[in-house]
Amino acid sequence: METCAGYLLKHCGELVSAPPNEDQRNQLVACAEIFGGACRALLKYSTALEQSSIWDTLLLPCLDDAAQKMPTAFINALFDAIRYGIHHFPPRLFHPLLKWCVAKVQSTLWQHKTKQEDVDESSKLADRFASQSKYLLLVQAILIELDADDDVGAACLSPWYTGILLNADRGNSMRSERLDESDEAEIGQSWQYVSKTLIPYLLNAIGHPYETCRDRIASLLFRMCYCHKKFLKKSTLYESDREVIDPGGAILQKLTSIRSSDEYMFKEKIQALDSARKFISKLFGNAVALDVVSAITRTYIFYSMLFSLGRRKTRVL
Amino acid sequence: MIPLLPLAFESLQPMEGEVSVENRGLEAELVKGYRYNVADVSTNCIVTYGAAEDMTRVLGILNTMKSHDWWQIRQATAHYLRCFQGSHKFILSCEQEELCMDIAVSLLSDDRREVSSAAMSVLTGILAVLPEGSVAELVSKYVDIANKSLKKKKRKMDKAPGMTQEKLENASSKEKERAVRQQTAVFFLCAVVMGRPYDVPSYVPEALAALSKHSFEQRANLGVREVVKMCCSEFKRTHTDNWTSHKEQFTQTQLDALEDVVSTPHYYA
Repeated sequence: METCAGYLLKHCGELVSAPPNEDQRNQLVACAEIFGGACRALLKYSTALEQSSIWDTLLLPCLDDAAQKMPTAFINALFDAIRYGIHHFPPRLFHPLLKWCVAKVQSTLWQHKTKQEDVDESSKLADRFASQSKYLLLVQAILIELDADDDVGAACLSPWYTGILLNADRGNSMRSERLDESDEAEIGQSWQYVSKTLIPYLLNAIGHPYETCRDRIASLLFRMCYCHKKFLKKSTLYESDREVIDPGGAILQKLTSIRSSDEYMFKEKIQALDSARKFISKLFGNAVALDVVSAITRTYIFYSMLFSLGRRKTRVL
Repeated sequence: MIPLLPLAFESLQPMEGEVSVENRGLEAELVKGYRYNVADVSTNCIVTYGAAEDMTRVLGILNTMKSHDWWQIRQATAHYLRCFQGSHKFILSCEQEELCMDIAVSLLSDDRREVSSAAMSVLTGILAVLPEGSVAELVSKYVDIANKSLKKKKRKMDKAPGMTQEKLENASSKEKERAVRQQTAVFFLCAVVMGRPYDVPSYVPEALAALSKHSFEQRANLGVREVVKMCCSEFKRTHTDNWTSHKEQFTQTQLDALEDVVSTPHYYA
């Protein structure tokens, strides 16, 4: 299987290197789809011993090549491919991918500097904003998959109907309990890793010169706040450590102190405030979209208003 | 979201210091973006049941922002309160409702017309769902304040060299307080009148009669007079269709008071 996947991923590299032509879009999207499919198949059907080498020998080199060569306009295809490739897998299976993405962000992302000579250098880094925005998007794909839904790790479970056939109900349920606890521990470790390594870099880049990067940084910060909080609510293992590993506090503290801070020049302060504004937009947009209880409240309020208006009309008449 | 609300409001104010034209343009775009953000949050974010503390925190932030130096922030606060109170009116506690009313009333006396107009809109919304009895009590209270805060004719003061400056300062501060009370009371009564555009509850004629006294040059400042005239004209316009039935709610004195404001002077007797 590795030989077959290796052949496909090699072809993937040829597709992504295609020169601009009328068929380039199809080739780039095909490259991303091949990567997503190969990734999923390799993770699903390889043994535990093989999984450690699969990322280093096959998947990450291909992804590195594809991410560098793929134009920014088509990077969403790679985003979807990564999500498809790791969807519903336990976090331990794609931890190398997470580490690689975080390392890329750390090595490429523009950072706020205080010394003048460093400011000159940082402006050179800002010129490579296209690659920075790509890696920020790819990290977001992984963080979305770390969102603590109930079906994390479902890709490694047997389908529900096989329990009857295998006469292993008790075994399956015990295995799923162990998997849940271990998944929770793995998600917690992944979030701890992200909080310690990625958040400081993102917070130091909120004054990024380019709007696309600021937008992606705001999305990442929101994703960390939201998904991490959701995970902590559902978690039983990390109940006692909530204050220690919740990144929301550090993020909010940084954002609320932008205006009064002296460390930014005027233009950079404007850009940092723009990042904060985008963060608020994403926070608010998510609150509107996902708050089911508030939807019920609004329905109640609507009908209460109708009722009270009806009573008032009757009184007037 | 709540800890970021003060940042959103504060960012409506440009930063101090001399900057280039280009940077000012960037800042103007940022302020515009934050204005949209604040408006979006006010209209679409709803606090759920069982989160009374969150509502108290939001109202606390608005209570702080209402006293801000920058008038755009005060105006944004009024607009935010209007939407927030409207969305949560059925789940606010008594203390929270009183706080909403206090914030709106305190903004009525603002120097900027934009802020006081926004505060009147807030009050219109608050009063629209209060029981008639409660509104009638409030109208009586503010009619009383309005009548007591009418501008009095200037008297010639004895000029004693030692005391004049102090007396002048006292008089000046008293005049300012009077003007604030007058504006608050008049704008409150205008909000009451404009809150019922298609009928005439029992307290509206009383409010209109009290308002008419503030439409004369000797009795009120220009801003107050203009708002009174606007309010009475609007009342006449929205009640024209059924004026014959609405007229019956007024006494002759109250009708004359209203006519004094809305009618144009006649060239012939």
